[in-house]
Amino acid sequence: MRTTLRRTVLGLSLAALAATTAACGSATANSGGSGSGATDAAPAASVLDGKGEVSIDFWHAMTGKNGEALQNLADQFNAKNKGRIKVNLQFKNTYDDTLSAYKAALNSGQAPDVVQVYDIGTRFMIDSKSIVPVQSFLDTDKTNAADIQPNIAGYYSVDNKLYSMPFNTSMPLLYLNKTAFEKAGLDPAHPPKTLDEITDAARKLTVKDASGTVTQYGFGAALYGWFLEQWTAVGNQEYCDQGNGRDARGTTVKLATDDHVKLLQWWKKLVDEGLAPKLDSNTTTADNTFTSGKVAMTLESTGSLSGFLKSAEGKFEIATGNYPKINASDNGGPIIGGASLWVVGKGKDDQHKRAAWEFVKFLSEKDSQATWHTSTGYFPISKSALDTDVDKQWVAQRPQFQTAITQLQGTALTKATQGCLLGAMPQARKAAEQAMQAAVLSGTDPKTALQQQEQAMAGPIKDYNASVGG
Amino acid sequence: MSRRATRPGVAPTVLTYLWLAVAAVVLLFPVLLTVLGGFLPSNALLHQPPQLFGGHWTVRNYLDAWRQPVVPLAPAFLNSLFVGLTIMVGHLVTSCLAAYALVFLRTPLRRPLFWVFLATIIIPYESIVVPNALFIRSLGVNDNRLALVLPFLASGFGVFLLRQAFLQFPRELREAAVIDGCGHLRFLFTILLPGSRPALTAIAVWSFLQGWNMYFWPLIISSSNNSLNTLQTAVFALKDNEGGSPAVLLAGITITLVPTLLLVIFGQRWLVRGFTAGAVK
Repeated sequence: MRTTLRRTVLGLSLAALAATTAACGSATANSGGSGSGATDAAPAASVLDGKGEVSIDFWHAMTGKNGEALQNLADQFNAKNKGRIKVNLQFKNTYDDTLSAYKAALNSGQAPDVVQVYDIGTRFMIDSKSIVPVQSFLDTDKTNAADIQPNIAGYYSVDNKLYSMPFNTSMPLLYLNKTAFEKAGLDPAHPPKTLDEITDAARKLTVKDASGTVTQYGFGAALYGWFLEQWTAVGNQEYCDQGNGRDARGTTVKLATDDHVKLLQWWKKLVDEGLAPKLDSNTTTADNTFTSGKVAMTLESTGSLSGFLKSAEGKFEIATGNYPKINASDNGGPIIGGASLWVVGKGKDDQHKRAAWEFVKFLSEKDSQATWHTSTGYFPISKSALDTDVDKQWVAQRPQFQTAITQLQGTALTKATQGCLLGAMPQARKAAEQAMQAAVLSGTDPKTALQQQEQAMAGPIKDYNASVGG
Repeated sequence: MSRRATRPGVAPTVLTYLWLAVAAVVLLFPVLLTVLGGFLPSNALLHQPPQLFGGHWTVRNYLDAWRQPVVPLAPAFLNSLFVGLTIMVGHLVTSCLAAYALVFLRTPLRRPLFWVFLATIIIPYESIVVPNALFIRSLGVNDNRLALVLPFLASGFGVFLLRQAFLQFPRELREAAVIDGCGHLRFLFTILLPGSRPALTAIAVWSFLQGWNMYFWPLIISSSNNSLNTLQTAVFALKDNEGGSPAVLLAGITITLVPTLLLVIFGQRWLVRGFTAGAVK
């Protein structure tokens, strides 16, 4: 609550101040350059020759063991580039805080050289005109992004131009309590694929005790906005207009679709029949419900696999399945989520831009990605990382992860599976969650709930588009 | 008989204490959970219901939290301490001098001036973040600890609180001192300030907590190597969405809580007295 208020106030004040500080901002922005070209120009590697050590700042939001893994990679990079480039990590707490700090820094001229931004901040970063597209560096280096999984690069590409380097990447899966499946006489090797199949399995998986209290629900997942976006993509539908915001800036988010109505009706029915518990949008609660054995099927990101395996150890076994479809005929696939790395150009000289790119490039390489994947559980963005020994061994120990690899490779890259790019995407996700909760938990008619939120989003989208000049 | 009549009945007393006990449990449970949780193994905490008094105590969480490599806690702790203490001293010095000038000197326009000081309280802090950042950057103290405290050395609230306290100071004492040849500084330090201890303590505690709990400014102003991270921002690094340990997080939060708890426990008497002394004329 406090955070929301703080963020709102900050957002408003930043917007109000943008006008007054714009002049100062651009004045300071150009002062740092020594012979630098335009903000988005990508200098060649030779600019670093004979210039001594270039020190660059990297703002990130990686906590816990992910933060440790990142620190290790940065140490490796610094050791390799001694005397040439030094990366300084600056922890910025959360994705939201990182973006807020970045917005403030653009005005005060203290921007980092590399910044990690979550998937739904992509449109803002492009519109901020403060970055050097990764594609420009690839072009300068006369190379390409062929080793990067096309479905992952797809999210961060507009007009076939890769804007940022995908980094920590995850995708959703259907998680099964394998032990409960076997007990109920179901085959965990053939997980349910559609809503109807989930209902059938859930009927068999739901267990009640003598007094009629449910001890194990068949299905249960957070009413999380990200999941709704995934269902849409699996149905090969676009989530916002203008080709999922990739042909031009999106103007509406398509919440009140027939598929969404069908999904929420189905979800409500599961809860009403006692096959699913009432869960809100908090994924941690849903995760704990699954790991404590209270629900037999759940939806979560691949990133949760290691944590799930650890929590369920000694209690039950876990299997995974493809993210389910709303209709049997759906032929899309899930969107990747996570965050990507942006090279900042505004106010930076050629050496800093290039040094930043060298670091980003290093993180995307095969070996770095194999280390990153195996120590964090995020999906490797490099195709060849999956062929390294260390990675193969990791996957062999966690056969559940193979589902994610197959699922990603089996997904055709369309505008629908690239995902929706919208400046107001953080708000759109919240709006979707409001509608999901209203329909499933408070019994509002799904169509009405979705329409209300779709209309409510019109204002923020319009405001955003106006703020970046149509 | 008459004495018994004024004493409240047994039933209302029991109810009052029962209500107070319930309120105490509700208020203290989160603190208890945080502090105790830090000493428990994670699985005891995740158990339904949490096994708070299971008997498996461990200090490993505290060590893990302290040693976490993403943002080392020791320098962050020092930064927080620096911020808290510097802002406290800054507020005390500036508030004393300003309030003194407003009350005891024939400062021209002192009433409008006071209103201007007071008006600074109603400016939302978030709206001055960017101008402050611009200013600090133009001073060239970017990666220096001073950047953490420079915009916060004076406070309208502190001036307000001390002005109210000084106004209550007996005029006669002041006149007697002046007649005996007492100068401004001597009067301030040997007579006025010792007599305003409750208000000064209140400001000191309040200012320290303001500095200690600061979150957004350190987040905005720190740009490299975590050198300006305070404890409030560093403890975030313990949060791990995918399979982290909640116990380590609770241990980290407890570490940030310690100074706050100590201040509230030992400073509460002064805090309450200071605020009411300023509020009631």
